[in-house]
Amino acid sequence: MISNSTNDIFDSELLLRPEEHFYKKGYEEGKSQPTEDDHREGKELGIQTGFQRFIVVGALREIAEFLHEQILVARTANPTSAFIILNGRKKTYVRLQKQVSEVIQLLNSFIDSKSGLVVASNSDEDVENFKKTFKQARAKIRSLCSITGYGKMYSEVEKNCLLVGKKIPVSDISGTTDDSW
Amino acid sequence: MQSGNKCEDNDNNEDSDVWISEDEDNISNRDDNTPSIDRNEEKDNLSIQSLKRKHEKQGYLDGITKARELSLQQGFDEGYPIGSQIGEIVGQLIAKTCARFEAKKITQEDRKRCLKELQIENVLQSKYFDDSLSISDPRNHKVLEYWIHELSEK
Repeated sequence: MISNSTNDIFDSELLLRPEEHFYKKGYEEGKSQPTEDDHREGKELGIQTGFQRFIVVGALREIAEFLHEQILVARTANPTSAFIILNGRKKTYVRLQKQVSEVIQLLNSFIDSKSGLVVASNSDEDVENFKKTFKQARAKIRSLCSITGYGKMYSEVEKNCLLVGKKIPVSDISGTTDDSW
Repeated sequence: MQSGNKCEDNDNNEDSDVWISEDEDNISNRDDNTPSIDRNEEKDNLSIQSLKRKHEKQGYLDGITKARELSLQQGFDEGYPIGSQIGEIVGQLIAKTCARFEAKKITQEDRKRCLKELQIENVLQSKYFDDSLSISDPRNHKVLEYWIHELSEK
């Protein structure tokens, strides 16, 4: 049996598990090496990924605001009617206004109300939430543009997002019928 | 030292033969009469050194790999919100450009120029960021600032 005095002199881990002891020593030394280049490389990639992922969010927000404006303009032409005419199409004002307001609210969940800028993090929870919200908003906007005669403009915007960002972010996401009204 | 090795009792054996002297640290310098206990102790020392080298090296490689992974991830997590803010503004400008063009408020020429200047490789140039790749407010990004102003005027 090893006495207390021996315990003080010898590292029991070194005696009993030398491989583990030496491995740990090397591991700690390796882990403490400076990695500024890797940090910068990671940051560059993070900026690029964030850019590519949120470019369509910005486009969708702008389209929603555009639709909102068009509805108001059409409404002023006939303020007392329950219907508005958009691109020669007769639509129920209240219903359309409600749908556009809903999607604006949905997209504003990404935005800090004070700064007006996106609040995003790369945590698993936030990424999952992003995918879910983005999927819904995209399907709703696409549907709204289609019924109001702005389908061509929507396609053009998405095509240009692809052109500018080099890929459509979250390419695995496409709106399902559940996400539409 | 291995416990199974015993030194035979021999009249010629002295302490100096049994214990390695301080300056004797090379096996090849010894003659073949060196008692087996010395050689075994040397072997033990060498095998410990070899074990030490092997496992420390493996630990070091794993440690540096882990450090690099952590550093990459930390950098990514810092960069992601910055890119998100910039990308979101660029997306707004793209949609604005298309809407303005459709309403015939800007020319085809302006539209093309805007989309060209907003390309990811133009917007994410290091000259628009500080040394640590940060930006105080993406709306002050030279390219974005120009087009925000340009399109709000139309």
